[in-house]
Amino acid sequence: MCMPNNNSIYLIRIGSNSEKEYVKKTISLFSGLVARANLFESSPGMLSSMFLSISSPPLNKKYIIDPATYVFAIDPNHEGSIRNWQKINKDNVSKKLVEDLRLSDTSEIKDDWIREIENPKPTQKNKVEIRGIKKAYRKLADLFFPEEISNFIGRRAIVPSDINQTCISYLVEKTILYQINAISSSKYSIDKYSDFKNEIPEPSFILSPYFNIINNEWFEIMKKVWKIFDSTNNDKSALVVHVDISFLNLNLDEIIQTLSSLKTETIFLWINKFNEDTAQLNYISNFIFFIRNLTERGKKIINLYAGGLSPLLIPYGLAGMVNGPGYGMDKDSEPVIGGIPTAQFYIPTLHRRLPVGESFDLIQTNALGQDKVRFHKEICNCPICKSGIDKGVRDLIFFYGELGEPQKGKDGLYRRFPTTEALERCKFHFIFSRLLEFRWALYASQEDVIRRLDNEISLWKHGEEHLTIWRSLLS
Amino acid sequence: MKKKNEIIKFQFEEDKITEAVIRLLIREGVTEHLKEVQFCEKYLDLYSYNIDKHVYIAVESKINSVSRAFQQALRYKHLANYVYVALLRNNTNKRARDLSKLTGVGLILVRRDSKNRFFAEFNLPAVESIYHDIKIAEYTWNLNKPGYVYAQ
Repeated sequence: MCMPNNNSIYLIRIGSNSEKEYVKKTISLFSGLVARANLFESSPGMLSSMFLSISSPPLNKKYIIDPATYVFAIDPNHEGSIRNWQKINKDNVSKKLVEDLRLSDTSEIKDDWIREIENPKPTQKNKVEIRGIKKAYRKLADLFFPEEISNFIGRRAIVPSDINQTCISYLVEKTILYQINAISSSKYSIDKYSDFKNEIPEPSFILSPYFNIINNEWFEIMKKVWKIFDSTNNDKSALVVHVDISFLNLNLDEIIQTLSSLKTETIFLWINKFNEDTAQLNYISNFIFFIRNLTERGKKIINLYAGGLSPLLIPYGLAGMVNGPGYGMDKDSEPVIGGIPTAQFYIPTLHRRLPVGESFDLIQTNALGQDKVRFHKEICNCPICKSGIDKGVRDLIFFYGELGEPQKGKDGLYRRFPTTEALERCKFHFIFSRLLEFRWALYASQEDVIRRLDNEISLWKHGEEHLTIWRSLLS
Repeated sequence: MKKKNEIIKFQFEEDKITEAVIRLLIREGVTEHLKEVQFCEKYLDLYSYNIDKHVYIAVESKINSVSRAFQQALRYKHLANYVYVALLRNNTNKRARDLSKLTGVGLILVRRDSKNRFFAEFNLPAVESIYHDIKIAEYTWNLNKPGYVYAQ
């Protein structure tokens, strides 16, 4: 039997309860599962049972809890941050805000923290909305940070000057303990698994706390975090490097030097807002250099938000990648909320994910996938495409772009949205086509990657500029 | 707020252009028209159907951004036999004419008179689209038809 050229791993990320079906149906094909600590706190039962079932025989998969400490350094007044609008009885407004935001008796409750409910139901007559802090984040803030910091979380973002050496030691210790004990100490598990508490498996990796490195001050903080975390010397330890692309670009050598001086081998990498197919050439070049250089120095890099290029970097040393079902090929630490859900189609031979209409347009313009056989050869041969694409690219519109009945939006206009089935198909297609790419990469050499890119460049006459850039940087 | 008002003004004027194009097409014998037609995640300003000739026409109306108008119009070459860009008659029309000749997308120019009435006329013809797919055209037409038929 042919053996893979490396031991790279592919992890699936669960981002919400609604994604559990995707995970349940496909986890056996992945190396493991990643969930953020805030999701764990809001759904401890669902995630504990999922982690336990996947990490036990016969699956024996990995599981990881991402402490996501970076959220506390983001402005809490930003929409979609750790605070949200919560409906509450008018009588409890002050009490809840004082509790949530740890306000003192003399603190002012700002007017823009309270608002009337828009179109209230009869049962909401005595209620208003308050801008509280999400329960999961309140709990994590209290667990991870010393009191002098956790007390202002929710009112303002943490800044580097808030964090001293004692605080870093506290943060490192608490995030490690949290990950190790998350399942066994959750109320759900205490009740349910009390008989075999000692057999509950720990996460496969223990992640360091992390903040987005946007400037030298944050870099200095993260250097200290990594150093203290490194000294804990756990064989499951993994550093998290969350860095802005422009800062990485300017400080590449120093970051590499710092990381290679540490004992911890595994590094989870999140380059903020870095899109592997649309980023400018020098950013992509430095991203590749970062991975190759650190791999040569004995590090194992796992890309937390793996883009189109990542599978092709596995023969060049990338030790692993993480994606959510149907998204998560790049991420901005500043939360982006709202927007109309669009069905997106991942084009494997272009390593790009685009809205279905745009994908259709691009494939048609390149005169590709005109019939069933050609579609499966030139575009995608994943099980979902094999079951739904019967007459070539045209079926993309009917199968992945299917629209439901018109619905009235908040602006009063009627729009059609993709059907649930179409969105599901797009997500499963993404999962399977990425898995096929990953598995191909496990057995591929660097020459195979170049050959693959050459074939794909010759296939696509339009829209292939990023492939040409990747080809030139990898050869 | 100024920006939002500007967007509303643009949308209103674009709608006036589309209405003028509908009147032009009716004069040419095209009687079926759908405005703001949804195709996947995109919206087409005008989608018209000539029942007698079984011909679909797509029109992208724009106040400015000539290049963008042609880029967007090209997306609808699968939906229609003929694709047009409709613009206000002004000093950017030279660029529009060049793009029309280059892309095969037809050009309709719309004149505004002193009473703010809009009149459309063909400026350059559209080349028949080789990408037109009748199945996708019928699907999109039927999907958008209920409640959206333009009533003259």
